[in-house]
Amino acid sequence: MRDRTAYRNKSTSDTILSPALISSILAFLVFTGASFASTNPSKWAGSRVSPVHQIPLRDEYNQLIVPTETSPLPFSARFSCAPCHDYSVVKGGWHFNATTDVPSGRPGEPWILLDERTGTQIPLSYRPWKGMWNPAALGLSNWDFTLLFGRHFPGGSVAEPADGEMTPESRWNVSGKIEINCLGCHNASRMQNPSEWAKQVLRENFRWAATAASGLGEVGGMSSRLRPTWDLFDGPNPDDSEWAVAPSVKYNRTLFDSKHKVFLDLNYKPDDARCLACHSSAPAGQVKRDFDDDVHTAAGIKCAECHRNDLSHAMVRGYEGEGGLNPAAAGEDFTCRGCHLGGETAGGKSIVPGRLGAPRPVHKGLPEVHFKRLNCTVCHSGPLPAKETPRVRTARANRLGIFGAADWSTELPSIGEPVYVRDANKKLAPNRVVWPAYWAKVSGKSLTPLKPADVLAAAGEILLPETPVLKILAALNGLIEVDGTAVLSYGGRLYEINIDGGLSSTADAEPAPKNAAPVAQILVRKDGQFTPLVLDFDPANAETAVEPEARIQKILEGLTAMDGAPGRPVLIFKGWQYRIAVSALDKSERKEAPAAPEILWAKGDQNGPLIPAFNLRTMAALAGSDQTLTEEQVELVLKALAAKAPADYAYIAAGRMFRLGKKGALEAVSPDTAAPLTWPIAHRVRPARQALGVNGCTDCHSGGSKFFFARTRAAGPLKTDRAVVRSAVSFMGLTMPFHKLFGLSFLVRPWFKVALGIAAFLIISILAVLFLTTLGRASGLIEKRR
Amino acid sequence: MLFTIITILALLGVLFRQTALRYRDSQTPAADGPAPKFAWNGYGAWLAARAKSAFQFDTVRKAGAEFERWTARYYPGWMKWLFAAFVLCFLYLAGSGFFFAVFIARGIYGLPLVGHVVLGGLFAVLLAALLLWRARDYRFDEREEAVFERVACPVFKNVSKAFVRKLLFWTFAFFGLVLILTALLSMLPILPADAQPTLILFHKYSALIALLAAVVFVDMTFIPAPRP
Repeated sequence: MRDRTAYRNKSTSDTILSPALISSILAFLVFTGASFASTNPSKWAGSRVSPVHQIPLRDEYNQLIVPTETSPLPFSARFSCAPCHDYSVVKGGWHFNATTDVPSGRPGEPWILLDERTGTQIPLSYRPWKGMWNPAALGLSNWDFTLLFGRHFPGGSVAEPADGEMTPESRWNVSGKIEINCLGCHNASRMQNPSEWAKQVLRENFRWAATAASGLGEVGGMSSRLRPTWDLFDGPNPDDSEWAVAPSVKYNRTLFDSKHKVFLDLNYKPDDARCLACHSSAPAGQVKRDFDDDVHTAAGIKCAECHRNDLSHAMVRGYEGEGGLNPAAAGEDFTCRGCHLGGETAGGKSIVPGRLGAPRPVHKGLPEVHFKRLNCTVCHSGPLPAKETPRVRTARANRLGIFGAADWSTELPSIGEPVYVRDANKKLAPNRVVWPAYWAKVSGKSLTPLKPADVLAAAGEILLPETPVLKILAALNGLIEVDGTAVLSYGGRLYEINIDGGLSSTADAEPAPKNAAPVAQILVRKDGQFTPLVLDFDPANAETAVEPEARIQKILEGLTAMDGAPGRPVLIFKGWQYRIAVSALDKSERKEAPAAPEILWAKGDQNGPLIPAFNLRTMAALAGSDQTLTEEQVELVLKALAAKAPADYAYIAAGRMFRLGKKGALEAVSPDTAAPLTWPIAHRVRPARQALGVNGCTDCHSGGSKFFFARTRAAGPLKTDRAVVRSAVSFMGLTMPFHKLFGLSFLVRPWFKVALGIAAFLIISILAVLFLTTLGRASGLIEKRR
Repeated sequence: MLFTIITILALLGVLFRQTALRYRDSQTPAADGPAPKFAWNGYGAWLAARAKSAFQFDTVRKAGAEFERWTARYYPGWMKWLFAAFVLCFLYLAGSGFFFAVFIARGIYGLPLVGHVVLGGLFAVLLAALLLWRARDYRFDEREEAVFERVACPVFKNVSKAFVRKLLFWTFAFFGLVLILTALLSMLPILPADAQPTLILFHKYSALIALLAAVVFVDMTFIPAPRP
């Protein structure tokens, strides 16, 4: 910018003023002025119009992008926006400065490291917020973090590491870095596609992600499939156009003019949809049509109207006390109190209320203590308290807002809201809560979390109970008739392979009989009808057994060829045993005579079950729930970890620490390290008539108050009856008996008011009589007593 | 903070005035001589002795007897218990209210607040009942009413103790009413939240005036005059 300004001014000087000395002095003065302007990013000339962005795009080498060229590079925000916007200033913004020593302020939503297989949900943040783990402390490199969370990351920061910060196992040289994605927020085009962004990040197409997501070009290929030594200048792989295809861009040429300038439809204040791509949240299980927007959104106020920033991108977060950390951002002007009530900041600055037409609340009859002890959001934001704290799903935690053939969203981590917790100002605020779950090495009182990959390596198939079922069903699916699907029936549920290659379960239309041990049975589903894998027949009748035995032979051959078969498959039925012997079906008599055909694995002289009981038990326990682990699995994994590398291990989940006792049984304790993590929320703001307390004091102050006595069960990946259950008052730091008593006192509160009213009326009457008689006598209107 | 200062100064001032008057009355004037001067040393010793005696069983017994005599006259039968309940309510309300208002920045909260609210209700009902039954004893008589006639140019010389007592009684009743109304209005959805601090302010200052009136009333009514 400096160069261009200086050049332009120099040219002007040359044209108008000929004396060289004067022009030099003038050029110097203007140059220094321009320099000052460029170092003062908050300076605004005064025009309320945003410029039209018809600009040339530049790549990461600062070269002009010509879309008609062969293999053009993706555009770089750093160089395309740089002529007017100082990238280094933007980099210091709130969304990009988590790893710096900028004051962190009020805790925000953590990133949550989720691994369903190992039952891991660990809240992470580069900011030093209490209860959150620094990714580096868990051994997550910038590369790991970007791969895990880049789907909802705006770029910059750890996704754009300096060369010295690149770890050896990373692939930045192949993927490129993720520059700040300016268009991710400011692009007003409806072509802007966060799902495409997530897809490109998953493919490790980091440097291409912004181009693809903006709709400026179409990106093909996957960096993740390229060899680690591939370089951008290697170009496409001529030997492979199917698998290891190098990423490339095909720009939409209709968007460019003849000078290769592209029109970017940009918003100074981003649309809400851009913010919500990463900051959405909704109650779990709610129907979309029932969801109401925040009242401010409904009133036409954009997120960015309150969450403001200048070029520094130091966002106004809008909580009370923010002004102390960032006085320049005027954060306290945009709190609820700032807009609706006004007042003074911590620094003594006067706040003028009514901003953006904010109405002044009346709060008739509300005792003052509520304003001293509660944030406005307690009554006005988030869901109303319920008997059991409801679950919420957020974009960043549960991978929402990524659309496509595959469902990216996850049920875990389990996040609850609202719980009410005191903030730094000692005021209650509604919070979200998550209960950390992770495997850890225990050393004294300190816990060192284990990486999910390390746990999985030690646990083996303990954490993969569905693997044998998947293998068996896959082996059988290739054998049975066209359109038929092999299904496992067990414990009132049906299990079958889904489109992603995983195992899905549905409730069986014919539930398992009660009080009977569940039986595993392979069925064939065809046209909605279920039939046994082997139909009933008489093995002793050579004529009628021909066809069923041919089917048995196919089944046993398929199972024999199954990858990782634990033995040789045999089928026992009505006193006969079938097995494959040198590619032929061998039939021999046996003592056992099961009424239904039973397939077993023969290991030497012993026959084992087709699917081990542990696997069936675990699958049945977890089927239909969000949990991914049973206590039995935890016990076995702890033993496996100790067997692999002797040490003291524990599994933290459900608010407890699970360890092996002296006798090898699983024991649960409740240490502080298993405590939940909470962070405050401010939205969704409900209409005033849906505020807590609109029905009177008993909305909160009653014996059965959901506000004070809601129960929060420690939810997470572990299915356990030993989960911690906490009441709302425990999060508030209050005592239950007092608030029970206080709440019960409101049963008589209406009569109390009546009694006070009657008493006041009587006293007023007596005082009035006294006053009037005294006045009457003093004035002579009433005859004096003698 | 202002309320704390005013409360402490007002209470100390009233206590000093009442004790100083009693100390002066306890001094024996010399025959045909001028009234003895106020001696601070003597006052200190006298106050210490009185304070010490206040904790002696004999003093408690005498005060009890005085209370019995007084209630037997004005609150006979079961009404004595109403009066006793009223006194206990007021003692708790004043104790809890002023303790938290003066010493605890947060103000009254928790169980003391619950007690304050509950006993406040009882106090209101009992105050109304006592006024209904006993107000007639505090009517102003003809001579006293003449004082009000001279209100344009008040001359309060030769005001009788009985008149002061009546004035204190009605002062207490009036500010008791303010206490009740401010509590009631703060609970009703009538006034906006902005009015709550004002109501609390009125509540606090009314309580202070009622307390001072009660202190002087009790001193004049129940504590026997010192022997010269």
